Amino acid sequence: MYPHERSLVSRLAEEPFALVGVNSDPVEKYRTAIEREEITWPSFWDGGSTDGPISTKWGVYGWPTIYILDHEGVIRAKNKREEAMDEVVDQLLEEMRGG
Amino acid sequence: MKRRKRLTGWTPAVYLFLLPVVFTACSSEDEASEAIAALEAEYEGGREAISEKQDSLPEMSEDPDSAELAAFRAASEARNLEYEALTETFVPRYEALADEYWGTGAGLEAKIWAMSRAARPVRGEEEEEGAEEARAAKIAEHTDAIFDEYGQSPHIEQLAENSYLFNEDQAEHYLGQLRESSPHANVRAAALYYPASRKLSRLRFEEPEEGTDPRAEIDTDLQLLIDEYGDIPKDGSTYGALAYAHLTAHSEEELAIGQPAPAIIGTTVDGEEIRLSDFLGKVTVIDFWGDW
Repeated sequence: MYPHERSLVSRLAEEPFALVGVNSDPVEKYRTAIEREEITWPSFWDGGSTDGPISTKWGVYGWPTIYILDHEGVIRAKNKREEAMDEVVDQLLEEMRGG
Repeated sequence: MKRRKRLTGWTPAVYLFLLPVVFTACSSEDEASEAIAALEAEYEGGREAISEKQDSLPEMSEDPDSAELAAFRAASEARNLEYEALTETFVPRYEALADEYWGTGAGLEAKIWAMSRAARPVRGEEEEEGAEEARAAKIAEHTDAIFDEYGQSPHIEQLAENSYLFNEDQAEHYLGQLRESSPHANVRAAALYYPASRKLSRLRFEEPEEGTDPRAEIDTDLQLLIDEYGDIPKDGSTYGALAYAHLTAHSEEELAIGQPAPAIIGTTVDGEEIRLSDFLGKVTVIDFWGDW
Protein backbone atom coordinates (compact mmCIF):
# COMPACT_ATOMS: atom_id res chain seq x y z
CA MET A 1 0.00 0.00 0.00
CA TYR A 2 2.53 2.60 1.14
CA PRO A 3 4.63 2.96 -2.05
CA HIS A 4 1.51 3.24 -4.19
CA GLU A 5 -0.11 5.78 -1.89
CA ARG A 6 3.10 7.80 -1.69
CA SER A 7 3.33 8.02 -5.46
CA LEU A 8 -0.37 8.85 -5.81
CA VAL A 9 -0.07 11.68 -3.29
CA SER A 10 3.03 13.11 -4.93
CA ARG A 11 1.64 12.75 -8.47
CA LEU A 12 -1.53 14.65 -7.48
CA ALA A 13 0.12 17.15 -5.13
CA GLU A 14 -1.07 20.08 -7.26
CA GLU A 15 -4.55 18.67 -7.88
CA PRO A 16 -7.73 18.99 -5.79
CA PHE A 17 -7.04 15.60 -4.26
CA ALA A 18 -6.64 14.35 -0.70
CA LEU A 19 -5.72 11.07 0.87
CA VAL A 20 -6.86 10.83 4.46
CA GLY A 21 -6.31 7.88 6.74
CA VAL A 22 -8.21 6.48 9.69
CA ASN A 23 -5.48 4.81 11.67
CA SER A 24 -6.00 1.98 14.15
CA ASP A 25 -2.47 1.62 15.54
CA PRO A 26 -1.29 2.32 19.06
CA VAL A 27 0.42 5.73 19.20
CA GLU A 28 4.02 4.48 19.12
CA LYS A 29 3.39 2.10 16.27
CA TYR A 30 1.70 4.85 14.28
CA ARG A 31 4.56 7.28 14.81
CA THR A 32 7.12 4.67 13.78
CA ALA A 33 5.12 3.86 10.64
CA ILE A 34 4.78 7.46 9.44
CA GLU A 35 8.49 8.00 9.96
CA ARG A 36 9.61 4.79 8.29
CA GLU A 37 7.18 4.99 5.37
CA GLU A 38 7.46 8.75 4.89
CA ILE A 39 3.72 9.20 5.28
CA THR A 40 2.87 12.84 4.67
CA TRP A 41 -0.91 12.63 4.47
CA PRO A 42 -3.10 13.18 7.53
CA SER A 43 -4.94 10.52 9.48
CA PHE A 44 -7.72 10.46 11.98
CA TRP A 45 -6.34 8.55 14.93
CA ASP A 46 -8.92 6.01 16.02
CA GLY A 47 -7.90 5.56 19.63
CA GLY A 48 -5.16 3.00 19.09
CA SER A 49 -7.24 -0.06 18.37
CA THR A 50 -9.19 -1.70 15.57
CA ASP A 51 -12.26 -1.36 17.77
CA GLY A 52 -12.01 2.44 17.72
CA PRO A 53 -15.07 4.69 17.44
CA ILE A 54 -14.65 5.69 13.78
CA SER A 55 -14.13 2.14 12.51
CA THR A 56 -17.04 0.99 14.66
CA LYS A 57 -19.32 3.71 13.38
CA TRP A 58 -18.38 2.93 9.78
CA GLY A 59 -18.70 -0.81 10.31
CA VAL A 60 -15.10 -1.47 9.29
CA TYR A 61 -14.03 -4.98 10.27
CA GLY A 62 -11.29 -5.56 7.71
CA TRP A 63 -8.19 -3.53 6.90
CA PRO A 64 -7.41 -1.78 4.71
CA THR A 65 -10.89 -0.56 3.83
CA ILE A 66 -11.05 2.14 1.19
CA TYR A 67 -13.75 4.67 0.32
CA ILE A 68 -13.32 7.06 -2.60
CA LEU A 69 -15.38 10.26 -2.51
CA ASP A 70 -15.92 12.80 -5.25
CA HIS A 71 -15.30 16.49 -4.61
CA GLU A 72 -18.85 16.85 -3.30
CA GLY A 73 -18.29 14.20 -0.65
CA VAL A 74 -20.37 11.50 -2.32
CA ILE A 75 -19.17 7.89 -2.00
CA ARG A 76 -18.21 6.80 -5.52
CA ALA A 77 -16.15 3.65 -5.01
CA LYS A 78 -15.06 1.23 -2.32
CA ASN A 79 -12.02 -0.94 -1.80
CA LYS A 80 -10.26 -0.03 -5.04
CA ARG A 81 -6.54 -0.42 -4.62
CA GLU A 82 -3.38 0.30 -6.56
CA GLU A 83 -4.10 0.92 -10.27
CA ALA A 84 -7.84 0.55 -9.77
CA MET A 85 -7.69 3.36 -7.20
CA ASP A 86 -5.67 5.56 -9.61
CA GLU A 87 -8.23 4.99 -12.31
CA VAL A 88 -11.20 6.02 -10.16
CA VAL A 89 -9.38 9.05 -8.76
CA ASP A 90 -8.29 10.26 -12.21
CA GLN A 91 -11.79 9.78 -13.54
CA LEU A 92 -13.32 11.76 -10.66
CA LEU A 93 -10.80 14.58 -11.15
CA GLU A 94 -11.67 14.60 -14.83
CA GLU A 95 -15.38 14.70 -14.00
CA MET A 96 -14.76 17.58 -11.61
CA ARG A 97 -13.11 19.59 -14.35
CA GLY A 98 -16.26 19.00 -16.38
CA GLY A 99 -14.65 16.45 -18.65
CA MET B 1 -11.47 16.83 79.17
CA LYS B 2 -11.45 13.40 77.67
CA ARG B 3 -8.90 13.00 74.93
CA ARG B 4 -10.24 11.17 71.94
CA LYS B 5 -8.12 9.01 69.83
CA ARG B 6 -7.78 10.55 66.43
CA LEU B 7 -8.97 8.26 63.72
CA THR B 8 -7.99 10.37 60.78
CA GLY B 9 -4.72 12.03 59.96
CA TRP B 10 -1.81 9.70 60.40
CA THR B 11 1.40 11.12 61.78
CA PRO B 12 4.23 11.83 59.35
CA ALA B 13 6.16 8.92 60.82
CA VAL B 14 3.49 6.54 59.57
CA TYR B 15 3.75 8.02 56.07
CA LEU B 16 7.49 7.53 56.16
CA PHE B 17 6.97 3.97 57.19
CA LEU B 18 4.57 3.43 54.26
CA LEU B 19 6.89 4.95 51.70
CA PRO B 20 8.95 1.83 51.00
CA VAL B 21 5.75 -0.24 50.73
CA VAL B 22 4.37 2.05 48.02
CA PHE B 23 7.75 2.23 46.35
CA THR B 24 8.09 -1.56 46.24
CA ALA B 25 4.59 -1.93 44.79
CA CYS B 26 5.41 0.54 41.99
CA SER B 27 8.75 -0.97 41.18
CA SER B 28 7.36 -4.49 40.95
CA GLU B 29 4.66 -3.20 38.53
CA ASP B 30 7.42 -1.61 36.44
CA GLU B 31 9.60 -4.66 36.61
CA ALA B 32 6.68 -6.86 35.58
CA SER B 33 5.83 -4.58 32.65
CA GLU B 34 9.41 -4.69 31.47
CA ALA B 35 9.53 -8.45 31.78
CA ILE B 36 6.38 -8.98 29.74
CA ALA B 37 7.47 -6.43 27.12
CA ALA B 38 10.75 -8.34 26.70
CA LEU B 39 8.93 -11.65 26.38
CA GLU B 40 6.49 -10.18 23.87
CA ALA B 41 9.36 -8.78 21.79
CA GLU B 42 11.02 -12.18 21.77
CA TYR B 43 7.78 -13.89 20.71
CA GLU B 44 7.13 -11.33 17.97
CA GLY B 45 10.72 -11.76 16.77
CA GLY B 46 10.09 -15.48 16.47
CA ARG B 47 6.91 -14.87 14.50
CA GLU B 48 8.65 -12.45 12.19
CA ALA B 49 11.38 -14.96 11.46
CA ILE B 50 8.69 -17.42 10.40
CA SER B 51 6.74 -14.89 8.34
CA GLU B 52 9.86 -13.79 6.47
CA LYS B 53 9.82 -17.19 4.89
CA GLN B 54 6.53 -16.13 3.35
CA ASP B 55 8.47 -14.63 0.45
CA SER B 56 9.43 -18.09 -0.61
CA LEU B 57 5.83 -19.31 -0.68
CA PRO B 58 4.80 -20.67 -4.07
CA GLU B 59 2.56 -18.48 -6.24
CA MET B 60 -1.06 -18.42 -5.20
CA SER B 61 -3.25 -19.69 -8.02
CA GLU B 62 -6.92 -19.13 -8.78
CA ASP B 63 -7.30 -22.50 -10.42
CA PRO B 64 -8.70 -24.86 -7.75
CA ASP B 65 -7.19 -27.96 -9.37
CA SER B 66 -3.76 -26.58 -10.03
CA ALA B 67 -0.59 -27.97 -8.54
CA GLU B 68 0.41 -24.40 -7.62
CA LEU B 69 -2.62 -23.98 -5.39
CA ALA B 70 -1.98 -27.30 -3.68
CA ALA B 71 1.65 -26.29 -3.11
CA PHE B 72 0.58 -22.91 -1.78
CA ARG B 73 -1.85 -24.50 0.64
CA ALA B 74 0.70 -27.01 1.85
CA ALA B 75 3.31 -24.31 2.38
CA SER B 76 1.00 -22.00 4.28
CA GLU B 77 -0.25 -24.88 6.39
CA ALA B 78 3.35 -25.76 7.22
CA ARG B 79 3.95 -22.17 8.25
CA ASN B 80 0.89 -22.15 10.46
CA LEU B 81 2.20 -25.25 12.18
CA GLU B 82 5.47 -23.44 12.78
CA TYR B 83 3.62 -20.53 14.36
CA GLU B 84 1.81 -22.96 16.56
CA ALA B 85 4.96 -24.78 17.64
CA LEU B 86 6.50 -21.42 18.54
CA THR B 87 3.45 -20.45 20.58
CA GLU B 88 3.59 -23.78 22.41
CA THR B 89 7.12 -23.07 23.59
CA PHE B 90 6.07 -19.66 24.91
CA VAL B 91 3.04 -20.79 26.91
CA PRO B 92 5.09 -22.11 29.87
CA ARG B 93 7.22 -18.96 29.80
CA TYR B 94 4.17 -16.70 30.01
CA GLU B 95 2.84 -18.91 32.79
CA ALA B 96 6.10 -18.59 34.70
CA LEU B 97 6.01 -14.83 34.28
CA ALA B 98 2.44 -14.74 35.56
CA ASP B 99 3.47 -16.73 38.63
CA GLU B 100 6.45 -14.52 39.32
CA TYR B 101 4.48 -11.28 39.05
CA TRP B 102 1.11 -12.55 40.26
CA GLY B 103 -0.86 -9.61 41.59
CA THR B 104 0.46 -7.03 39.11
CA GLY B 105 -1.24 -5.91 35.90
CA ALA B 106 1.45 -7.52 33.76
CA GLY B 107 1.13 -10.75 35.73
CA LEU B 108 -2.54 -10.91 34.79
CA GLU B 109 -1.73 -10.03 31.19
CA ALA B 110 0.68 -12.97 31.03
CA LYS B 111 -1.87 -15.29 32.58
CA ILE B 112 -4.52 -14.30 30.04
CA TRP B 113 -2.04 -14.76 27.20
CA ALA B 114 -1.28 -18.32 28.30
CA MET B 115 -4.95 -19.03 28.93
CA SER B 116 -6.05 -17.77 25.52
CA ARG B 117 -3.59 -20.12 23.82
CA ALA B 118 -4.82 -23.02 25.89
CA ALA B 119 -8.39 -22.20 24.88
CA ARG B 120 -7.90 -22.87 21.19
CA PRO B 121 -8.58 -26.16 19.46
CA VAL B 122 -5.45 -27.79 18.07
CA ARG B 123 -5.07 -27.00 14.39
CA GLY B 124 -5.66 -29.76 11.92
CA GLU B 125 -6.54 -32.36 14.51
CA GLU B 126 -9.87 -34.01 14.79
CA GLU B 127 -11.34 -33.05 18.16
CA GLU B 128 -12.12 -35.86 20.53
CA GLU B 129 -15.51 -35.93 22.13
CA GLY B 130 -15.66 -33.70 25.18
CA ALA B 131 -12.64 -31.62 24.13
CA GLU B 132 -14.66 -28.45 24.12
CA GLU B 133 -15.96 -29.12 27.64
CA ALA B 134 -12.44 -29.90 28.79
CA ARG B 135 -11.20 -26.57 27.45
CA ALA B 136 -14.07 -24.71 29.10
CA ALA B 137 -13.26 -26.40 32.40
CA LYS B 138 -9.63 -25.32 32.05
CA ILE B 139 -10.72 -21.73 31.40
CA ALA B 140 -12.99 -21.83 34.44
CA GLU B 141 -10.16 -23.10 36.61
CA HIS B 142 -7.81 -20.30 35.50
CA THR B 143 -10.55 -17.71 35.79
CA ASP B 144 -11.41 -18.74 39.34
CA ALA B 145 -7.75 -18.31 40.25
CA ILE B 146 -7.78 -14.88 38.62
CA PHE B 147 -10.88 -13.88 40.58
CA ASP B 148 -9.24 -14.97 43.84
CA GLU B 149 -6.32 -12.64 43.25
CA TYR B 150 -7.75 -9.85 41.11
CA GLY B 151 -11.48 -9.87 41.90
CA GLN B 152 -11.26 -6.51 43.66
CA SER B 153 -8.48 -5.11 41.46
CA PRO B 154 -8.87 -2.59 38.62
CA HIS B 155 -6.55 -4.82 36.55
CA ILE B 156 -9.32 -7.37 36.02
CA GLU B 157 -10.66 -5.07 33.28
CA GLN B 158 -8.29 -7.09 31.06
CA LEU B 159 -10.27 -10.24 31.69
CA ALA B 160 -13.49 -8.54 30.58
CA GLU B 161 -11.71 -7.39 27.42
CA ASN B 162 -10.89 -11.00 26.66
CA SER B 163 -14.36 -12.29 27.36
CA TYR B 164 -14.32 -14.07 23.99
CA LEU B 165 -12.52 -16.82 25.91
CA PHE B 166 -15.72 -17.68 27.73
CA ASN B 167 -18.66 -19.69 26.54
CA GLU B 168 -22.05 -18.05 26.97
CA ASP B 169 -22.74 -19.33 30.47
CA GLN B 170 -19.28 -18.39 31.67
CA ALA B 171 -19.55 -14.91 30.21
CA GLU B 172 -22.86 -14.45 31.94
CA HIS B 173 -21.48 -15.71 35.24
CA TYR B 174 -18.09 -14.02 35.39
CA LEU B 175 -18.93 -10.71 33.75
CA GLY B 176 -22.17 -10.49 35.70
CA GLN B 177 -20.11 -10.85 38.85
CA LEU B 178 -17.81 -8.03 37.77
CA ARG B 179 -20.71 -5.77 36.79
CA GLU B 180 -22.35 -6.29 40.13
CA SER B 181 -19.52 -6.31 42.55
CA SER B 182 -16.37 -4.70 41.21
CA PRO B 183 -15.56 -1.51 43.13
CA HIS B 184 -13.89 -0.11 39.99
CA ALA B 185 -15.86 1.76 37.32
CA ASN B 186 -13.40 0.75 34.56
CA VAL B 187 -14.05 -2.93 35.36
CA ARG B 188 -17.83 -2.55 35.46
CA ALA B 189 -17.71 -0.59 32.18
CA ALA B 190 -15.60 -3.27 30.47
CA ALA B 191 -17.89 -6.00 31.77
CA LEU B 192 -20.81 -4.20 30.12
CA TYR B 193 -19.08 -3.14 26.92
CA TYR B 194 -17.27 -6.26 25.72
CA PRO B 195 -20.17 -8.69 25.90
CA ALA B 196 -22.39 -6.12 24.15
CA SER B 197 -19.82 -5.59 21.43
CA ARG B 198 -19.40 -9.34 21.03
CA LYS B 199 -23.14 -9.91 20.75
CA LEU B 200 -23.30 -7.20 18.10
CA SER B 201 -20.64 -8.84 15.99
CA ARG B 202 -22.45 -12.15 16.30
CA LEU B 203 -25.62 -10.46 15.01
CA ARG B 204 -23.75 -9.53 11.83
CA PHE B 205 -23.44 -13.20 10.97
CA GLU B 206 -26.37 -14.87 12.64
CA GLU B 207 -30.05 -14.27 12.51
CA PRO B 208 -31.44 -13.82 16.03
CA GLU B 209 -33.67 -16.57 17.38
CA GLU B 210 -37.30 -16.18 16.49
CA GLY B 211 -39.24 -14.04 18.94
CA THR B 212 -36.14 -12.59 20.58
CA ASP B 213 -34.87 -9.05 20.29
CA PRO B 214 -31.22 -9.20 21.28
CA ARG B 215 -30.64 -5.74 19.82
CA ALA B 216 -32.93 -4.11 22.39
CA GLU B 217 -30.96 -5.68 25.25
CA ILE B 218 -27.65 -4.66 23.72
CA ASP B 219 -28.85 -1.10 23.20
CA THR B 220 -29.91 -0.87 26.83
CA ASP B 221 -26.37 -1.82 27.88
CA LEU B 222 -24.84 0.63 25.41
CA GLN B 223 -27.06 3.42 26.69
CA LEU B 224 -26.10 2.56 30.26
CA LEU B 225 -22.44 2.83 29.27
CA ILE B 226 -23.02 6.27 27.80
CA ASP B 227 -24.97 7.45 30.84
CA GLU B 228 -22.90 5.94 33.63
CA TYR B 229 -19.45 5.28 32.22
CA GLY B 230 -19.18 7.89 29.48
CA ASP B 231 -15.89 9.32 30.69
CA ILE B 232 -14.07 6.12 31.57
CA PRO B 233 -11.03 5.95 29.28
CA LYS B 234 -10.47 3.01 26.96
CA ASP B 235 -7.35 3.04 24.77
CA GLY B 236 -7.32 6.55 23.27
CA SER B 237 -11.09 6.83 23.57
CA THR B 238 -13.78 6.34 26.21
CA TYR B 239 -16.33 3.62 26.87
CA GLY B 240 -18.98 6.27 26.26
CA ALA B 241 -17.65 7.15 22.80
CA LEU B 242 -17.29 3.49 21.87
CA ALA B 243 -20.82 2.66 23.01
CA TYR B 244 -22.15 5.70 21.16
CA ALA B 245 -20.38 4.60 17.97
CA HIS B 246 -22.07 1.20 18.18
CA LEU B 247 -25.43 2.72 18.97
CA THR B 248 -25.29 5.14 16.04
CA ALA B 249 -23.34 2.98 13.56
CA HIS B 250 -24.10 3.74 9.93
CA SER B 251 -26.18 1.22 8.05
CA GLU B 252 -24.95 -0.43 4.86
CA GLU B 253 -27.43 1.73 2.93
CA GLU B 254 -25.91 4.90 4.36
CA LEU B 255 -22.46 3.79 3.25
CA ALA B 256 -23.52 2.66 -0.22
CA ILE B 257 -22.03 4.01 -3.42
CA GLY B 258 -23.94 7.15 -4.42
CA GLN B 259 -24.61 8.22 -0.83
CA PRO B 260 -23.04 11.32 0.70
CA ALA B 261 -20.29 10.15 3.04
CA PRO B 262 -21.31 10.52 6.69
CA ALA B 263 -19.38 13.07 8.72
CA ILE B 264 -16.21 12.13 10.56
CA ILE B 265 -15.05 14.43 13.32
CA GLY B 266 -11.95 13.34 15.12
CA THR B 267 -8.41 14.20 16.03
CA THR B 268 -4.98 13.47 14.66
CA VAL B 269 -2.54 11.57 16.83
CA ASP B 270 -1.27 14.95 18.02
CA GLY B 271 -4.74 15.95 19.19
CA GLU B 272 -5.53 18.43 16.43
CA GLU B 273 -9.16 18.41 15.37
CA ILE B 274 -9.78 17.08 11.89
CA ARG B 275 -13.04 16.67 9.98
CA LEU B 276 -13.89 14.83 6.83
CA SER B 277 -15.64 18.02 5.67
CA ASP B 278 -12.21 19.74 5.65
CA PHE B 279 -11.65 17.90 2.37
CA LEU B 280 -14.85 18.92 0.61
CA GLY B 281 -14.02 20.26 -2.83
CA LYS B 282 -11.35 17.62 -3.28
CA VAL B 283 -11.54 14.09 -4.58
CA THR B 284 -10.83 12.19 -1.39
CA VAL B 285 -9.60 8.70 -0.65
CA ILE B 286 -10.40 7.51 2.88
CA ASP B 287 -8.08 4.72 3.89
CA PHE B 288 -8.82 2.79 7.08
CA TRP B 289 -5.35 1.47 7.79
CA GLY B 290 -2.96 0.06 10.32
CA ASP B 291 0.69 -0.83 10.19
CA TRP B 292 0.53 -4.62 10.40
